[in-house]
Amino acid sequence: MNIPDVFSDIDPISQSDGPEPACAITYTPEFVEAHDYLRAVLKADERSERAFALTTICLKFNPANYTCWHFRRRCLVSLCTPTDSDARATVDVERIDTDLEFADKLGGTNPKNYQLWYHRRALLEIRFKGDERIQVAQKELGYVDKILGDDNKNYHAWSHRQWIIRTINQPQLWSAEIEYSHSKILLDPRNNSAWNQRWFATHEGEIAANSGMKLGKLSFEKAEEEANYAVCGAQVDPFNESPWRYLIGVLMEQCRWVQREEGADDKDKVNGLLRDCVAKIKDMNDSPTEDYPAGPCVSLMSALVDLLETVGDKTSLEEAKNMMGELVVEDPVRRKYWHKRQSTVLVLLGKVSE
Amino acid sequence: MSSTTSYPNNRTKHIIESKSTEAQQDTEYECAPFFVDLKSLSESQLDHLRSVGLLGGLCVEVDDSIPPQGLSSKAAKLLGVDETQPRVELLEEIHPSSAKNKVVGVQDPYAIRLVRSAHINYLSNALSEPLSRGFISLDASHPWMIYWCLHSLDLLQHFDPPASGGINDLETLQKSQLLKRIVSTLKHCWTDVPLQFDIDDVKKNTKLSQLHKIQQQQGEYISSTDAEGTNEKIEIIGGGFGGGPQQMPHCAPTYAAVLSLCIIASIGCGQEDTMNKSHNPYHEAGKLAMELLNEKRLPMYAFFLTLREHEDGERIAFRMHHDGEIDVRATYCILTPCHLLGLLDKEEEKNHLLSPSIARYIASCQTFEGGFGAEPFNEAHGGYSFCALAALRILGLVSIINVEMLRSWLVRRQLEFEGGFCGRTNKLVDGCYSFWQGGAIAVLDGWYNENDAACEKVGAADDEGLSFDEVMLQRYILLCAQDVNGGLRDKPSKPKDFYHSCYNLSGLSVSQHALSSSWPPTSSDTGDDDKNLNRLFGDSSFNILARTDPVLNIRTDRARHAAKQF
Repeated sequence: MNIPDVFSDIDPISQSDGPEPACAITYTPEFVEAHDYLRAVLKADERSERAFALTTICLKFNPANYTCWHFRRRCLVSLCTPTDSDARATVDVERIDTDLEFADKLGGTNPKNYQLWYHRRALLEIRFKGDERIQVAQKELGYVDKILGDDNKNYHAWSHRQWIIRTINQPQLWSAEIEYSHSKILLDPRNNSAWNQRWFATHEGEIAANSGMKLGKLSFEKAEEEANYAVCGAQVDPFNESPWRYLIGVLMEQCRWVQREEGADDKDKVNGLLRDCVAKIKDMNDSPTEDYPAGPCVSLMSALVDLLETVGDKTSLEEAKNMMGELVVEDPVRRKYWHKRQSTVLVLLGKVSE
Repeated sequence: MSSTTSYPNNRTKHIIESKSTEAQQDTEYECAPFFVDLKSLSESQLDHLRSVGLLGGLCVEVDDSIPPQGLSSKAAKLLGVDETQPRVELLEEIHPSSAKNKVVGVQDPYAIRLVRSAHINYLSNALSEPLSRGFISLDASHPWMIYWCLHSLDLLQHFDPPASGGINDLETLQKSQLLKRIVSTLKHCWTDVPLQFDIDDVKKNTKLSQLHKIQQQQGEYISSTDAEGTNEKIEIIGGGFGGGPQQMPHCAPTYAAVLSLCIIASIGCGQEDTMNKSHNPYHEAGKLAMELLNEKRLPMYAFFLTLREHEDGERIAFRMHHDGEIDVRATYCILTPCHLLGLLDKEEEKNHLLSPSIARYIASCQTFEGGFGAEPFNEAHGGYSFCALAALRILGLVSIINVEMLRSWLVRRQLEFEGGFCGRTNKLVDGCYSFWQGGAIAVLDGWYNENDAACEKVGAADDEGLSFDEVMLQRYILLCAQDVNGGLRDKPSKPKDFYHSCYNLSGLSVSQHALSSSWPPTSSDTGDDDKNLNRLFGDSSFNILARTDPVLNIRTDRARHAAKQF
């Protein structure tokens, strides 16, 4: 596109950065030309095909130009919505899908800028209003999967998946997401994003299944399943922090629940599960298999002291205190933290003895 | 690397190999050469380290014919030994006769140094000289680039008054010119935006009514009614800083611009007690910065109000800009400038930016791991955790979250072998998390100190300072994150940049200075900023930076100056 020809009726507006700007960028002449016209169409709020085409050029220079993305969406909405008042306000879905492809191409294999991902959300919000919403969502999940294939921890990508699933909110998507996160954990047990996704899918999925019953926690049966899943993960590689933290999360959530009045009935079951897990972990700690590299396992010990503290009786607190003493030595970079934790346990022990 | 201390050198263990364990092992291999015992190096290698400024003392001319031994070529290159580059000769004095006494003027010849002058050159050039076309990708981040470089230079005490006279020398004039250029550039990044408010909201909010009154007097007032003619709307001209001139207002560049202007205001107007105005070479720049802040604070406040989004369950989040993403960064980027500019008046009856619903949204971003994600249910992440905690500290509502889980998650992010922090569980060390995680721990420790005064102390004298290992962090920053040619980086294999320079130096400052007794520091808590120190790594007298406020990430004296003004 020859920009000055296409916009011959418009006066370009140059960037007004004042005399001797700090952190001034040496733009290329092509960049300056495109952006001078972009400023002019922005000022005129000209939502036309040629303005839309101009945003494509500018975004290729800098995909982080949020002003340009915003204006592109304004153009798109105007151009997609029929102006004829008789026509039903249908949206040109093909055009939106084309723009999703544009964002895909612009992002490359590992897109990490906020604007690209937000653009997808904004466009999909429109697409999700249509009848084909499930198919559109499936296709988008496929796109995210492709990105996660390249970088299995891409933060935006995982966040985008969550948004798709909670926006569509269909039972099959929730259960499929649990499977998806499981497959990612199998590929790389230290993919903490996948563990986090499992938490999201089990929790928000259960809320969705209980039609809005927002207890904000798993049922006891589900919690038991998830605790077992985490213990299995920890047994496979106790040096991996992810399953340990998942386990602590599941158990703590149940413990907080039974401290509330409406959860009192579950108290014995939850305490049983907690003690069961403690026993299993102690077992792992006392009799490591041949696979273990020599030396104590800090991830395991850190998890164990958290659970012992939660059990909270005198014996467990004594055990926690002693293990924290070991951690002062075995986990030297956190020795000051373990000292602090020890002093907290001592206070608890004082209370128990009284 | 000191001769007397030994550091943990356990590598990460694993049973199942995966992409994550491979990447972690690679990073440990990458960092290991930097942790070499200096006493095992040859004299020529030590000379090299002296010539690039990593070690103190004077040395004789480096003999180029002897390449450093015992380092892999990659490590040698990373340490700054680049055969293709001419040797940097920092020495003015040469003592060829005293080969044995060539290291003079330092107590510990093995104490690693911050290469201050190289960093200052890199950062001040970035501000004053044109940037290459490669920076087009940061064209929507001009105020960020300014803040990263300016705050870094401020930590390096680049704008502190010279010890003796010399305020009219060329260098000072250039610095003063640069500060004025920065204010002017930021002024050009400001964009007005017309905003609609319900007339009732304006009446109830003293700041909005004040702004409305000012604009009426200036003839900018436009009244309108909506289609049904029921709800009278008032148009108020708000605004914010954009990523560059003529860009939309955005709360991240607004945060960066306000911090930068507060820094300059304090440099130029903050030393009045000790210095005659006319003797402060930066006074004019400071005055311009103050004027701009005074002019824009209320329109900015109005703009922030329009970024609010009501999430379900009585929670209020913010968008980064109109038609922009919602996440917990926005909350922090809005509350910080408001705090600095006195817009969070707790006595005011209805200040929309102090609503408990804002804190509830932040709390809903805390995950089962203990850290915070960008949005509810997103993975715990260093950047968002910092934003969440600092925002709650500003609101005075830290206690609504699970602080014990957060602290536990934060300290687990420090890597035992490297000493630096990672951003998420099972991710790699990155110098920028020196501040995001280290700073968050400082914020949380400060909160604990205030709330837990009764907590009894157990343990040795070693148990002092911050909850993480501040010496190990300093060691990572000084050995692995410094580029000896100036600038700091993520890790040795990554190139330096302004962002990593800023957050490595900020993390270094946090790890060097003891916490102040309260936050925000009381007016009596002045002076003594730089005297109360934690344990230090390397050349302790040489490496000390100015103290940064871990919530706001500008120097504490800059924050105090803003508190007095607004």
